[in-house]
Amino acid sequence: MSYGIEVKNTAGNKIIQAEQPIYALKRSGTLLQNSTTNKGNTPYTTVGLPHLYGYSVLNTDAEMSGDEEVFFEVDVGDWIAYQPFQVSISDGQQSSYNALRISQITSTMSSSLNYYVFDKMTSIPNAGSSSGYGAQVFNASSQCMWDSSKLTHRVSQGRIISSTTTISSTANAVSLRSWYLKLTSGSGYADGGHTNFNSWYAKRVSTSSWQIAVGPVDYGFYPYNNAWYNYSTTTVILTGNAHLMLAYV
Amino acid sequence: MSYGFQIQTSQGLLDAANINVARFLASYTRTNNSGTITQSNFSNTSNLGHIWISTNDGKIVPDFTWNNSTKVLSYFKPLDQSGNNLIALSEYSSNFTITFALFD
Repeated sequence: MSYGIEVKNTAGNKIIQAEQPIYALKRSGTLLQNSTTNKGNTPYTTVGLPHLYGYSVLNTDAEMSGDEEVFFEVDVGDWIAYQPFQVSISDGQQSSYNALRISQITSTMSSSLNYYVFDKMTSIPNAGSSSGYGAQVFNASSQCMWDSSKLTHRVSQGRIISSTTTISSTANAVSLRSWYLKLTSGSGYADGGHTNFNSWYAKRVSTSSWQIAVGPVDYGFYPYNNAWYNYSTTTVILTGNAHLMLAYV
Repeated sequence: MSYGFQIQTSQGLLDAANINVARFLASYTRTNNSGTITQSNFSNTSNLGHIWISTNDGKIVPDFTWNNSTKVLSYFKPLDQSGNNLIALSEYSSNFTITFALFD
């Protein structure tokens, strides 16, 4: 470096620097469960599969664009799964959803889901304002690259997961992007029927660990043009790894 | 602590040396079905780098692979499955952003 500041820890990580903007919290809010996504109302209890609860981020402030990324707060014992965006869902009773973008299966069946959208400091409104207290680092263009007051919420690590993995972390929010979806069985219609998928999920096992795995979920309804419900044989729809980031919120 | 400084966070007072934060490196917006991007100053060795793709049109983002030796990212969309009443290519994004971030 020719100028500025750079502080590394003993592991060699650049913890304070002026070269690249850190990711910081840009906005946050709460999504409410889409009431019709659990219209199926009867989880596939025969084999004890968890039931899906849906939250659509379409046309909400949780929808990200550009360099933004959205994280969801997960309580200990709960887990969260993404469906590939834009998989069209119908519950058989009401009109299809154009984008069920995220689902959550919780032990407490929470009806709300807190989201946090992060973006780089140079895209955060009023980044580098001088009010308050703490320390800030600017680059040669007077852009704030690092701000101690922004570390309350922070993105702490990123991983690509190809098989079941346990991650040691005290982070309490996750961003999980995946390209894997396998229909394992289905029968009948939404009410009383089941549609079982394998997809990636991230479970917050304890205050200090997460488990990332592919597991079965009963959607409780049939998706996409009313056509998948009667698939009785295994159908791989998408394949791919899970891309995950953890954050403190 | 014996040296350094501490910062108040949502987890209480932490040593600054223990706080690792994602840093933005580069991003690219694309509108095609497949392609490559060379990012010579990026590495995901030891999980110290991360790449993600965000949709700008609400559709499914493409999958991708990263070759850490050649420093080339390849993005691609799956085969059209509309013939099986499954996912058609038209359901995939035609406007998405690929972001490179560092934790090193």
